[in-house]
Amino acid sequence: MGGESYDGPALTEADVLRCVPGLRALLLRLTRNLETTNDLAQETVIAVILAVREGRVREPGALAAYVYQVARNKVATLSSRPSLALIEELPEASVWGERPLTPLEHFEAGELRELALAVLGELGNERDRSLITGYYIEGLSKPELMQRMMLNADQFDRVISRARGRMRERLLAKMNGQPAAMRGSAPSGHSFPKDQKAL
Amino acid sequence: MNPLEGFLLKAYLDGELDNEAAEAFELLLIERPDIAELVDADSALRIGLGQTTVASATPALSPVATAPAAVIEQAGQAQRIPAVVPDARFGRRRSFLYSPALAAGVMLALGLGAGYFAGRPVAGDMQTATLAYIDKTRDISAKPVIALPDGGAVVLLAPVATIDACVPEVLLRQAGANDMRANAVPDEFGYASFVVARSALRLGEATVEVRCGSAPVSHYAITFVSATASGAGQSP
Repeated sequence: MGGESYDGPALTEADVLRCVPGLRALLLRLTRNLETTNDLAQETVIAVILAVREGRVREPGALAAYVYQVARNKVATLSSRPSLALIEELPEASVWGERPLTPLEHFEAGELRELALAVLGELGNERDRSLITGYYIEGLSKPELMQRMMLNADQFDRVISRARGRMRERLLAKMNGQPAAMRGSAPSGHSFPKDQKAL
Repeated sequence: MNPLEGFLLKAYLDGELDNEAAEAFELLLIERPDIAELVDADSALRIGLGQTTVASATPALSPVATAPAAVIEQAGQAQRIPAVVPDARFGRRRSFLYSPALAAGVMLALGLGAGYFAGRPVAGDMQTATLAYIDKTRDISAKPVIALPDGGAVVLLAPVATIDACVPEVLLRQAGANDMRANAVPDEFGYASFVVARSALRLGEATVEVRCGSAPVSHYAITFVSATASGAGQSP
């Protein structure tokens, strides 16, 4: 990665930060834990930025794969890694603070419950609500729910897609209502280890 | 997002992509904030609704009559014991982030030994159930043998390896039967209890798999035998 012969435009830290929303979505899907996602996203970005600075990643086309692999490694080593070191505060000028924010960075798990129940309540009828609870709460599969509720695939997809779309809208709306001062704060009280905070 | 991307997104979120396709989609996800928003929305629904129960989310919802554990679901909730429900979708899920070294380490840490049948009823006025304990402290190499009663409910006490900050998913696989799945928070000794109807368990070989998200953490084999036929069935 980042071969010596590459002469194209150099990767920048801003390029790395543009990967943060997708990185966080991936990590949250893998860990299903908001705090862990925040911590691992931060650690991944640090690792990738250091790699860019050291010239180990140079080609823009290789960036996503590099971010992806680092994220996978971070998740895979979750059980053996030491606890994150705590420092008093994240440096104001940190690159991490300049990342594009995603709605879920602002939420606690309890708030998500309220939002999810609100989305559930918005669904038009009892059948749609039953489908969502069957899928997300009971963990039933799409074929099981289709059979149980006598739905075809299109009907199933429409209801699930509507719920996901409304959840996205609610998350975005809630985030846009957040005070700007929250941006750039260290997630979940954890921050960069001291030897890495110069970013 | 074009129609193909939308199609792939749905398939990804529903766990219908194979390993290679899922990884390719995840690479696209890294580069596409618009797709990330929808993946986040799905995760938010899963996390948000995962903190509630069917009863509190939709009071009028009919019970899941097809779930083997449904008959004791109320008891399971009251005791904070996760009820095991079938999850055919799990069987299609791709293996992801699988580390053989990690799994081997976890298996050694578990030190699985022979399970034994305690025959101890669950107290209280909910339902009587039989406790089946998969012992991890005895012979490290033996396959645990679990003696099952002829009927009723079984509380399966099983070792569950954990990854920090992950609520593990435990999958019970049996030949010729639907997979059963439960989310479980192990106790301080690394065990979690699962309530399942005896009728949902088949005598013979079974496999317990533990996952964190979509990443397998450990797995081990067990054997279910009849307590009546084996002469077991009481606490050692």
